[in-house]
Amino acid sequence: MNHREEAHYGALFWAGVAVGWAFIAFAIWGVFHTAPESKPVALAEWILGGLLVHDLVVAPLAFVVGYATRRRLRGAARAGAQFGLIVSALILAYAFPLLFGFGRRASTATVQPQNYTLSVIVVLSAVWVVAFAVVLVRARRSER
Amino acid sequence: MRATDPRTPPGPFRPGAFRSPLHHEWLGAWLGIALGVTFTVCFLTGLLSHAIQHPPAWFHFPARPASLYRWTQGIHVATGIASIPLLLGKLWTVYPKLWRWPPVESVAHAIERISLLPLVAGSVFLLFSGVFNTFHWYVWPFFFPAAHFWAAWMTIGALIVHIGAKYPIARDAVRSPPVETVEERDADGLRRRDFLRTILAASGALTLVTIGQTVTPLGRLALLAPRKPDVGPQGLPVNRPASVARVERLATDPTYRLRVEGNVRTPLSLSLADLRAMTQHDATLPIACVDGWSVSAPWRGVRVRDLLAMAGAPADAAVRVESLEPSGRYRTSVLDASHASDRDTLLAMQLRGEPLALDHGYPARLIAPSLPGVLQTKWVGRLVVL
Repeated sequence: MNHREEAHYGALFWAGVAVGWAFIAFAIWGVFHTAPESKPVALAEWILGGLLVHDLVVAPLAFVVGYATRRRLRGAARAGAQFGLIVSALILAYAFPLLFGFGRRASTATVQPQNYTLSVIVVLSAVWVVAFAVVLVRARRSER
Repeated sequence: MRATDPRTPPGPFRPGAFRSPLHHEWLGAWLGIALGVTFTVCFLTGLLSHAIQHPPAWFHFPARPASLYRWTQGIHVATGIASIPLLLGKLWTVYPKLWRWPPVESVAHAIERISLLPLVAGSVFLLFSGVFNTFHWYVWPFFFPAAHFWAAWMTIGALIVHIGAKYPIARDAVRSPPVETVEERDADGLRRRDFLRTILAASGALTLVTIGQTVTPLGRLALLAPRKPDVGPQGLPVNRPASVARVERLATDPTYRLRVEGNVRTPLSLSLADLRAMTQHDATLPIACVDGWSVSAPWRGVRVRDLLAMAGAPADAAVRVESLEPSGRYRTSVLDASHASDRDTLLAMQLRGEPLALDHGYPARLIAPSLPGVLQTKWVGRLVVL
């Protein structure tokens, strides 16, 4: 076993296990105690589903894009592209329902009242301006 | 052809399968610390919001300062949004650990890894369900507040286990930043510090384009906020319009009466004209929604404490405020004594100098300092002194 990993299973770890799993047990009790509202089976599906989507779809996709960036781009352009891609992806991870109008209803017009396609274009344009600045800074630095 | 050891696992399980220097403890430690802070803030502000809406007997939330809930809930939602890049960056940094081989090496290690399931799954769920809730995108069959509340307890519990396991490693990693090799320093692409800055930049950018839904002066920058503080009838957003509450006919009935009943000496039944004939008071108070948006506005109406005094209610009475809406989870709210007796707690009939719009609660709505919007009952038909 790795010595470093052995070392951290001390008193702090076991105290954390005791307190942390007490919280988890309370949460499980709470879900079943409020089953008509919490709907334990559906909630478990959503919690595990999110994990699977991340681990088996989002993360591998990030690796594919990262690999392609590394293969295709050299020099300062690579750092700028990585910055732009990472920030854009993280903003879209938040904003994609707004882009598709998920949750928007005619009866509640003040929810999602903006033109989010335009908003996303403006925000991502600003991100890529910064990404271009990263390229320039990197290029200048490598010239020295 | 190279001979392979049959005991060597294939694919991502293979040692060295993930070669990027960005999969590093130093990065994981800093992002983990940032997440520890934001999740703790989210948890505490979330517990507070839950306690205000479902107060246990020992709990009392003060009516002052008037914007207290506006800030605690604004911070809750803003911190959650800012956590999205931190979480996804952290998960990417530690992703190779998912494929480590052998999967477990001891009982303690097995407990640590099992505890990662509620931690990672709960974190992803909390952030995305919270964001979807602010978008009113309800694609699940459960009641969001209950699911979000219990998932938070689970996630924070798993976070405590994780901190117990990783604290010494994180402390060492932060104290001694990694020394880059010559190849790493000369390589193209983002280095470790650059990656950390990139994640923080994404977190800052998301905050900048959403925080204006709470911090009104930054409203123009709120390009990706699901609410604009000045968009709505009378320049104020609406969460639950009259048509959805199916209250239009009752709220516009000319025979409308406000009844004050319960633990009172003289039950009251007041018409709109009676209410308008009473002394009117002005108060500038925020509507602060659990969804994270808030905006302050000038209200005018009758003090609730004046109505209670007129009915002969006890001085320290709590009051149940009932809406005309026929059904709905939030058709009633309870004002504790400090809120009911506050000088600014009004049964408001005007907003910005005009009669209330129907969607804002015409003919009369509750407006009180430091309360969630869902408890600022609209279309009020009855006050029951408890």
